Amino acid sequence: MEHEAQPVETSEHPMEHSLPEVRSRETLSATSPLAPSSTLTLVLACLATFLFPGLGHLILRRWGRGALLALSIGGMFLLGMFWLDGHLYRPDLSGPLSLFTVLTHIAPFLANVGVGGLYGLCYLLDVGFQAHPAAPTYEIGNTFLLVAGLLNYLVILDVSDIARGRKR
Amino acid sequence: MKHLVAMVLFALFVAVVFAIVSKESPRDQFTYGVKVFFAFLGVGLALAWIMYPFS
Repeated sequence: MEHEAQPVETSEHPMEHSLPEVRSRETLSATSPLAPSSTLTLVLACLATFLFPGLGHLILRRWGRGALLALSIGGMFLLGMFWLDGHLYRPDLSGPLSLFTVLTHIAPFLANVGVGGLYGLCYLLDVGFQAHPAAPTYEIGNTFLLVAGLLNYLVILDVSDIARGRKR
Repeated sequence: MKHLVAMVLFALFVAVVFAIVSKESPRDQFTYGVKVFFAFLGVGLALAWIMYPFS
């Protein structure tokens, strides 16, 4: 007795079996194509975000995101410095370059510089560079300041993606 | 108490940024942000209890 091959039901919808996140992205591209901004806008938005967190999103008219990012990263920076007694790092290259110097001076400096405009302002006013190791929340304050800078690097990448039309 | 408040604020700020950067729709952002917030708090408290015998 021949076993007839049962017809396999295939979905005609191309996104039937795709992941929800991919499906939403495909739906997005199908219904509302993201128009990439000009190169000048891209550069300005990234520079603006480097100067102050969230400013690039505001330039790209993402008001809610820009405001939330400004409050979060700016708040983290201010709390770390003035409430938790953290301090910013200067690049100290006076001694021999070693792994210790890289880990304790250069890497924290690069992290702090992530909030470029705020770091520059503090540098000009000479505010926030003095260490308070006796303060009980000294390390926590330093962590707030380091992470604020690192998060701003992520935000710059996000602004770049939005300006290129890769994200909504 | 200041340490606990600092931990909660840190989790909140990082969760907001991660949610905005990682997801696109407001609903996805909110859901992901809440998950990240509680994940940070949970891991922080767990590590605190693990370190407690050695303090």
